[in-house]
This record gives sequence, C-alpha cells and structure tokens, in this order.
Amino acid sequence: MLSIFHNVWGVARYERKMLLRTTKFRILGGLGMSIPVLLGIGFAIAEANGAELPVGIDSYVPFLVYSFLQTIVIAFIVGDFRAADEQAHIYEVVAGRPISTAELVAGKYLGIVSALVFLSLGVLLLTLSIQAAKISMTGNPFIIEPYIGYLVFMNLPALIFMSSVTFFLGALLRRQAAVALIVIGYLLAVLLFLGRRYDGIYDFGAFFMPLYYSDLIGLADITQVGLQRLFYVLLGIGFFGFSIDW
Amino acid sequence: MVIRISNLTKVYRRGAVPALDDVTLDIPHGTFGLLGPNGAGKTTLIKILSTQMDASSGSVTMDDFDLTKDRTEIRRRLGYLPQHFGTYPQLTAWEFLDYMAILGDIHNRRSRLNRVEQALNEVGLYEARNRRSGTFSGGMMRRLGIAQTILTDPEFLIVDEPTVGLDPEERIRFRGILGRLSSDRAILISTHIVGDISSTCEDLAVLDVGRLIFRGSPGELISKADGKTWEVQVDDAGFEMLSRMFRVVTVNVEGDMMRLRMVGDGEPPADAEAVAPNLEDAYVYFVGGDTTGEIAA
Repeated sequence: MLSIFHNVWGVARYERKMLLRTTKFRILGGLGMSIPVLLGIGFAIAEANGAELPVGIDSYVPFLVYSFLQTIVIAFIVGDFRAADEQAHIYEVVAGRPISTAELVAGKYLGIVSALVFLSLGVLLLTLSIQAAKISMTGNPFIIEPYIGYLVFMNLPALIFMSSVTFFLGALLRRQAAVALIVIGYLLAVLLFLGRRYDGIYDFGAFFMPLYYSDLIGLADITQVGLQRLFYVLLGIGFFGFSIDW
Repeated sequence: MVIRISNLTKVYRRGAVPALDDVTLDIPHGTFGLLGPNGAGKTTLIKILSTQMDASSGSVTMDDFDLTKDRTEIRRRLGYLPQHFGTYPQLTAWEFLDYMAILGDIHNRRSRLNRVEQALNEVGLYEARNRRSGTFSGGMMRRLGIAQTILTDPEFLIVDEPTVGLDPEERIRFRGILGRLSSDRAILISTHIVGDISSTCEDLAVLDVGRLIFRGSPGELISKADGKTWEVQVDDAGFEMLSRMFRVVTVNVEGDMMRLRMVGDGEPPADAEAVAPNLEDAYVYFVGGDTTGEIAA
C-alpha cells in the first residue's frame, strides 16, 4: 500500500513539474489566471471610485470566468498521455518499468490536476489580495466565505470532472485535437443550451449556481448545490477509473 | 541471469509471414549480439523480451521467471534502451533519472540519489546533470539512455541499435560503456552494425526473415567465410559482372578503377587476392543482401 502511494506521488510530482515548465501551460494558465484577476481589479477600481456594483459580483464574476477558462485550459493540456509519451519516444522505457499502469495513470492524473489546483489557488489568492487592497481604500466590510465557497463548489468539482472526462476521452480517442473539440463543444452547449435546463443537472461548472449574496436570488440552500457538485466529483472519479487500461 | 527462449513465434496477422519463426536461443551472462538485416525480426524479439509485446507462441524464461506470468518481477530485473530513445525535455538529466528510478520502484530517497549519481558517473554525464535533456546531443542522449537502464542495477540489459546516428567518437565511447557494464550482467545488443558486435560481444546470433540462422562466437561466424573472401581491382564492367557473382562488402574508388572486397562461393578472377575474412565479411556472406553503406563498422 505504501509502495502504491510512493509510486503515484512520485509520478504526480514529476508530471506536475513537467507541466508547469511547458510553454503551453504557462501561456494558457497565465491567460486563465490573468483575465479573472483583471476583472477583479476592474471591479475594485470602479468601487473605489464610487460606482454602485451589484452585491457579490466582485467575488462571483472572477470565479465564473475562471471556471470557463479553466475548462479551455484543460481541453488543451489534458489529453492522451500515452500518445504524448509515444511521440516523445519515452513510452517504451516507461512501460517497461515495474510500476503498474494504474499507478502510472493515477500519478499522471494527479500531477495534472494538482498543477491546475495551483492555478485555482492563484486566482483565489490574487482576488483576495485585490479585495484586501480595496478594503484598505474604501473601508467596506469583507466576507471571505464566497471566495472559498466559489472555489470549493464551483471551481474544484468542475476541475476534477472535466480533467477526468478529458483524460478518458484522450484514452478512448487518442487524438488531442478531437478531445479538445469535444470538450469545448460540451462547454459551449452547457453555457448556451443545457446549463439552465433539467434543474441544472448538466451544469458541470456550476456556471448557473446562485450567488452567495445577490440583489436578486441569493444562495438559500447550499445542500442542493453541494449534492450537485458531489455528483460531478463522483462522476469525475468514475471517468478517471475508466481511463485506466487495466 | 540466463535467458532461455524456446520455440518463440510471432505472427502479426493471420496468414502473414511470421516476424519470428520458432526461435530457440539461450542468452548467457556477458555481452550477446543479435545481428540481422532490417526486417529480420530483431525488433520483434526485443519487444517481446522487454515485455512490450506478447509472443504468438513459445516461451521465454529469465532464471526462474516466466515472461508472461512474472512480468513485474522480470521488469525489476530488466533494463531496456530502445532504438528510438527520448526523454522528457523539460526535465534535467538528474530529474529524468530520478523520475525513472521512482518508476523503477526505488522508494528510498537516499538510495535513489545514490543510484542516479552512480549512473550519471558511469556514463560520464555527471557534469551535465543540471542541464535539461532537451538540449543534449545525440550521443549524450544515448548515454542518458544507458544511464536509465542501469539505474535499478538490472541483471539483464537489452540495447536496441545502440550506436545508430552516433559519430565515431561517441560510438567508441558507447561501446566502452557497454563493455564495462557486461562484467556483471547479461547484455543483449541488437544491431545491424557489425562493428558493434565485433568490438563488444563474446557470443552472437544471426536472425534472418524471422529465423535463427546462426548461433556461436564471432570467431565461428568468421570461419564461415574462410577462403571465400577476396579483394580485386576492377573497372565498371568488372564491377557489374562480379557484383552478380559475389556479395560486395566494400568498394573503394582508386582513380578510374575500383577496389572491391567481396565474399561468395563463386570462382574469383585470376587477379583476385584471397584475404582473411572479418566479421563483416562473414555476416555479409551469411546473410547476403545489399551490403554497401549500412554494414560498415
């Protein structure tokens, strides 16, 4: 058991390191982080200049936008690791090691997911820093709960689910371009058609979840949202399991 | 470790010519050469031995372990350097080897660091340990490749076409590394470059069209071409005629004439000079085919 943990963790550590060093990840991740942060700065400047913004918008919008961008990052970053290893002429060497396929795939998956979690935490820290700066200027009250809430309920389940689906599609189709197309198509379908229908069952990114605090509809029942998010986390774990070539 | 291959056959498609046809072979301790032209079945055999591919029939055992039943145990005892070896270019040489050591089930950090350092020293890459492998030359990549095979101190090393694409200096260095490593393990070198075999192997096998056609020492293979190797100076017309009767090993242009080195059972011209065969001559005599260029040591 300890050996499995060592193997999975060791693979995850290096996969994350490699991903963080790729230009593709740096560009996509940088864009994914900077757009929500720039929006946060924009809201803070507007408020500091006396603009009346809808309640809760400054915490909600950056995470909503980031959740959308995060899916696009996943579509291009996560894919068929086997095809990538084969292309780099490293697959035979890796496959000839005593580590099991399940440990290898789990390690690669965790490595990618943990790199994406770093990005999410980066967005959280930067938006919190902007709020801290705004409060020091305006003296407005500050509640941290929505920031953590959006990260936990909106962002992380979407990250786990979408990474797993992309991993699964990668293993199934073996074509990065096809996988990216399907994932982005699914994202657009949810945003444009499916998201609000059937009680939000297709809303994998919680794009249409109620705001924590709002002038219109506040978040009355966190349990309902939590269950929907748990459903996507479990579905994500299922897809991850299917992506292992046992 | 003794590798015992029994009646190994591999057919990719039903009805197709077998890539390996009933091959039976023992690979003992030391350096063992696997020679054969392209398409002889060397890569298929290597892929089966390195647990990358299943055979259609037959068996392989490594000491007491069966290749199909004890795959993980065999992988623990195996080091494999494929012909096309790549790395993760984002990682430094040190990081790459550390990662490979993790995949090789070495969990203790201290012993991993020791093994990585030892492997880098063994192949002369310690000074380049903090350079990203994506910036390495072809020769350095091959050396990094051999470093990853010896990380887990395997009892059996498989090296596929080890010197293809290397310059002469790197080729000699690489052969030296293989020679040093062979003192305490079995090494299988698969190649179509005869020079790799003649400079490192005590024992060899020749495959052709999936079948084992020779098994013995380099000396025994050379003796097959005894009295059948000739050198002669010819013009264009002479070359045309002799190349139909003999297998030409080398051609050296000397002004308007050519000096041929050739092997075969035919009657040589009166001015042909009998020469002592080398491994390359014997290989060409045994296997035949186009010999110019690729077979050069």
